[in-house]
Amino acid sequence: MLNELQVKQVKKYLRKNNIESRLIFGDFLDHICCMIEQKISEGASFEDSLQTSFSQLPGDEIKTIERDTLKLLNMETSFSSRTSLLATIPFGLFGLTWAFANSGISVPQLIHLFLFWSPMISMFVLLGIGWIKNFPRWSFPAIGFCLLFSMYLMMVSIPGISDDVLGMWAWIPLLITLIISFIFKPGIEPIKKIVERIKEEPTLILFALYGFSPLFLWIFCDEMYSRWMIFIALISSLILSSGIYLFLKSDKKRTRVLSIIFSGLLAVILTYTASHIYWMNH
Amino acid sequence: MYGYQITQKVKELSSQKIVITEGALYPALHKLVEEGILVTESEWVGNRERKYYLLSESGKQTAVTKLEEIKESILMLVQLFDLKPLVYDVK
Repeated sequence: MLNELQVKQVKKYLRKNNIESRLIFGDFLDHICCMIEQKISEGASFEDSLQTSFSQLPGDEIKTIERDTLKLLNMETSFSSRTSLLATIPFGLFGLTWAFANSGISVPQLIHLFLFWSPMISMFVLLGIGWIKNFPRWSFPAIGFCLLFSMYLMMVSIPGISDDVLGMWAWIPLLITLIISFIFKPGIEPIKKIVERIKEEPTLILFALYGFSPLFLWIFCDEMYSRWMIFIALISSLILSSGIYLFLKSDKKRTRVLSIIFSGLLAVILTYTASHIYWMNH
Repeated sequence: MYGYQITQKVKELSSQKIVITEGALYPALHKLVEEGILVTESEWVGNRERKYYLLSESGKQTAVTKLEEIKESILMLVQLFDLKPLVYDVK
């Protein structure tokens, strides 16, 4: 039986090869230890057995097995460029809305309405598709957005509809989305999958909250009307979108977490600086 | 049985002729767990955790059905290729 230090060497090998899934890590830790023990029982030294086992199960091969397993379980951690780019669409729409809304440029009412509602609707649509597909990672920003947006909407009053704040009525869009999604995919499996995914990688909560960031920055720039806000809005949205893209593309947890922290911070700093300069001159 | 044990058992039963690679074994095991055909039990062996894969109650029934299907496929191949029935008769 391998001692604690020897097991640690195998753990180190798995970590070095970036094996992140709890399931695969546990399986291969025991598997490699068994291989080593088998070789030791046949008369080889620990060091030789370790090296032979590592060469029989190279790190990149284990990583491929991890990727295949997660894909088979619909638990992928990294996605294709196409999927990652598609997931940034609502953020891009937010960028356009924000740019036009704060540019001071007047646009026809129809375009104005489209620009205002399209990012919100796209997030709710993404949530619905996420439900149907058991909430893959790319749908997490939509979960965060829809929850926070509904909470934010509770404190908002819409002139023409009600002079009072919306209160619980604010949850109607989310409720409708969930009912429609439920018709397409009945059952609570999608909810179970969310819990499973968060248990596997708790940083997904951060990724979900990240979904609210474009709207947060837009609210932050409320009442700021200037042509150069177009650039601030577009650049900030581009930065936030690249955070989403990198998070979904990368198969390394550290890169994923850093990508959303850095892009979030960078967009906040840029917007804060722009707002500071704007209010100094107005 | 645990993962490594499964690979060794298959080798032993097939006289070293069938080798299940880790790349084929673990994704399949996890998929079967997800489908409820297998369940897992863990125990500590020395300084590491070992996961045993066991047939669930519904999995036992599925296994019987699948074995019947395999048996039928083999018999069909025997008929198709006109092989000696005595060797392959599984009754």
